[in-house]
Amino acid sequence: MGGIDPDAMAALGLTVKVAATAIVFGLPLAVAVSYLLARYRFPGHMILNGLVHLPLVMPPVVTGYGLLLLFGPAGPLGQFLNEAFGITLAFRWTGAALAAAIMAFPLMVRPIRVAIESVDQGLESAAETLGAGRFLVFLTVTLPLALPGIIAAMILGFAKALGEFGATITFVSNIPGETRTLALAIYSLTQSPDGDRAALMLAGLSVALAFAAVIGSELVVRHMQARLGGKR
Amino acid sequence: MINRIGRSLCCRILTLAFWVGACLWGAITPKASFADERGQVLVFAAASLKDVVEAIGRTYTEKTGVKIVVSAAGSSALARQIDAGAPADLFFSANPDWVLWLIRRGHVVEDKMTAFAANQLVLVEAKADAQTSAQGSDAEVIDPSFLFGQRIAVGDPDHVPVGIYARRALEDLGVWEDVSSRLIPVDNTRIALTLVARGDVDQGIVYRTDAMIAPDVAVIGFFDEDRDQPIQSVAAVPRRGNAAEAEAFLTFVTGPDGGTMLQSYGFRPIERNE
Repeated sequence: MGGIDPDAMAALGLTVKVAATAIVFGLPLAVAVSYLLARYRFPGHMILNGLVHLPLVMPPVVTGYGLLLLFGPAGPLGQFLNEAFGITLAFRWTGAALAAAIMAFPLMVRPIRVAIESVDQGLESAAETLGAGRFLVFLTVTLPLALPGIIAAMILGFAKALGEFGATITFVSNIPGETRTLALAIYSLTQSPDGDRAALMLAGLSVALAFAAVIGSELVVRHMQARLGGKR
Repeated sequence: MINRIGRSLCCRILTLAFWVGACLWGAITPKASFADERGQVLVFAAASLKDVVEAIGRTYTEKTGVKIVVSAAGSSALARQIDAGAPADLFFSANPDWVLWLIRRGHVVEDKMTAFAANQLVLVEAKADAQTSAQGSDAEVIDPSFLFGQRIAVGDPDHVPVGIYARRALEDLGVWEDVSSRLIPVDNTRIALTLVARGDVDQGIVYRTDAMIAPDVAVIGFFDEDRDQPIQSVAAVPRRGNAAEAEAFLTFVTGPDGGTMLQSYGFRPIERNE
């Protein structure tokens, strides 16, 4: 490992921390929103669906700028979080995690929603007739049956969070050791004439990470589908 | 049955809650801001200035023990971040426009803007071509006969700063009408240099500083300086940062040590008329 630049290692560690945090906080919310979208019809259903997908279609710079205006030290939500809970997101790695979570959110909601929609509602009603409440039904029937989709979503979201660039650099800048993730480190290296080699190496590393995540999700899903299918 | 499932679920949820809590704790534990941390200056630098500012920063750290942390992005993104309250102690912008914008919005005191380095536009060719070309040296002023390329890469003259400067220079030469149809607008100088080096275009108009560090291109002449709107990088000390530390570093950048390093990266010192 001696050949690897310590800055690159710092960027790698930071990236994994940021992506993991984004998923730990983003996934439960994504499951909740997917459940809402899959199982309920309510006024504003389409609007919520649209909002969730917005980061997928908007230029990431716009998302980042929106975050900066909302969560920046002078922004309304940024001030509220700071005064009420002492949480600072802007220009901290936590802000990078927020940006990554928001960019990964639509990629998580889609597969989870499909997975929940494909769960047989007859099984849910059966559990209810056996006396389980709505929440327990969700935890013991819907969630386990939708698990392949949720895990696929988690890994896809993680891969997306690893590579997030546009929203991150716009929202939390490019501070070494704090917000300079892999993607930002690659960008920084391409600004230097002698950085091309290191940039290529990091690019290879991030391609490998993302590829492993996507393949991993595919394998997990296949395995779980076989298990779930076999039990029927 | 439900009881048992419920208990094991409880266990799992508690474990998850523990990890989430641990993460949260890490996230909200107060950490001194950059400005508070003694002996550290957070510098926002335009991507084109990153290398030279980092190099000067390293020398400065060796001499004083004060750490220089550089966050590099586009000047516009950095200026907007300072506007939104970023804890930057010092801002190096590729051009004065964004510092003037910050002054208008009250984040920088007017007399805290310092031009610290001048740049210049040059015409480049791939090195292989330049060897056969009769013309060519770093010291020659461009005249219209130099611009014979069928395709000339430039920054987009509509919005990329280097392209806007290029358009002005071509207008000053009186050849804009003639040349504009042969221009290949690109997003930044690095792309222009790559196109030239690969032979995808015949010539390129780039900053002198970028041409100097590109191994496969040769400078064949420079554009005469625009007296009214020189190409200058400027530094500014935002109000909210640690002004004393920032100004000490800025003094070093504009002083003899910084000047030598700026020149080694292709910048030219600013002539000060004091």
